[in-house]
Amino acid sequence: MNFEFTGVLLRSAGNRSSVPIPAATLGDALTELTSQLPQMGRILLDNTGQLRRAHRLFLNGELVPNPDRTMVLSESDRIEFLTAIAGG
Amino acid sequence: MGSAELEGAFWGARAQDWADIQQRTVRPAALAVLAELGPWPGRTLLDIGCGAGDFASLASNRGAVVLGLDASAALIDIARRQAPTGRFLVSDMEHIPFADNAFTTVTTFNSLHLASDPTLALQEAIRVTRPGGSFVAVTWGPPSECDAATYLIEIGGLLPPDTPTPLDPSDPDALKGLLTRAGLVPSPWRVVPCPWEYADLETALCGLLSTGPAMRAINHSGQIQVIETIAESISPYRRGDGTYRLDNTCYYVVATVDRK
Repeated sequence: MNFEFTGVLLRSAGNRSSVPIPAATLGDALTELTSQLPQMGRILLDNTGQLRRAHRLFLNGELVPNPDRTMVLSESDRIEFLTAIAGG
Repeated sequence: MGSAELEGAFWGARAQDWADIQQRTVRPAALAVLAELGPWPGRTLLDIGCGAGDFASLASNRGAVVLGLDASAALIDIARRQAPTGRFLVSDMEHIPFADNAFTTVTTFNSLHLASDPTLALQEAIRVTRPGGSFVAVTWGPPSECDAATYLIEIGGLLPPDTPTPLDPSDPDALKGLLTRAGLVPSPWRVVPCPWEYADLETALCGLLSTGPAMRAINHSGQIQVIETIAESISPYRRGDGTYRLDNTCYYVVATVDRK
């Protein structure tokens, strides 16, 4: 599967807009992604390792309202995120 | 209520907490700007998005004639008390109520990204800066340098989905691009450590709930959820003695306004 990044996540990924990850589930993909790009860990995941709710996940262009780490992924799947960030 | 009035109402809801706790987190950047642009006697300063008047007060103490604008009437009231010789007005950033070339120095501390139209706000800032004068833009550093990024992201997730973000506050390069497109030639980035430090969780929450976006999030998602989310987002930065420290950077650029 491929992660595709824009905005704050793109910068957290070192400006890599597409990161291919060999993984069969969302949980495995996030684990491998944050292993390859440790600086993304605190941005993507909360203190319990769950995907922060602030990131709206899109699978192949479709919003997944409550993504679960057990969500099955195929080799051709594409995951994007829409992340709002507040000023302060 | 227009967007600027609404923004002002959110920022003013907990104005005293902003003044007492949160605004001071930008103080190191304010001191760096003061040192770089001094001496201040003879300068006329406009601070756009002046909040509770911290920077204006510091510049006034160094001899500048200071004016400040902010969308929040409550913050302007505090600024007037903090810098009694200054002049402070409630105004949005897109319609600055001063004549062309009125100021030698115009500053924006983490405020341009709060404008509903940052391009127009910047045009207005340039318009009121005297040729040869200085324009300063300050913003938070990138997420890799800011522990506060998780707070800003979590608050972002609790805002109404249609909340506009015309200028990404986590992207200094976006701000620099805005300046360049407006015809300015910004200096290289100056990077200033600006940690957020709190004596305890209660103080941290008072500070972090005092921002406009936090109040907007409360309005949309409810106070309990916002408090729980903030407490979770800062928990990695709790130290053994119960205090909190989030290490962050501020970035700023200086540009000389050179209108033909």
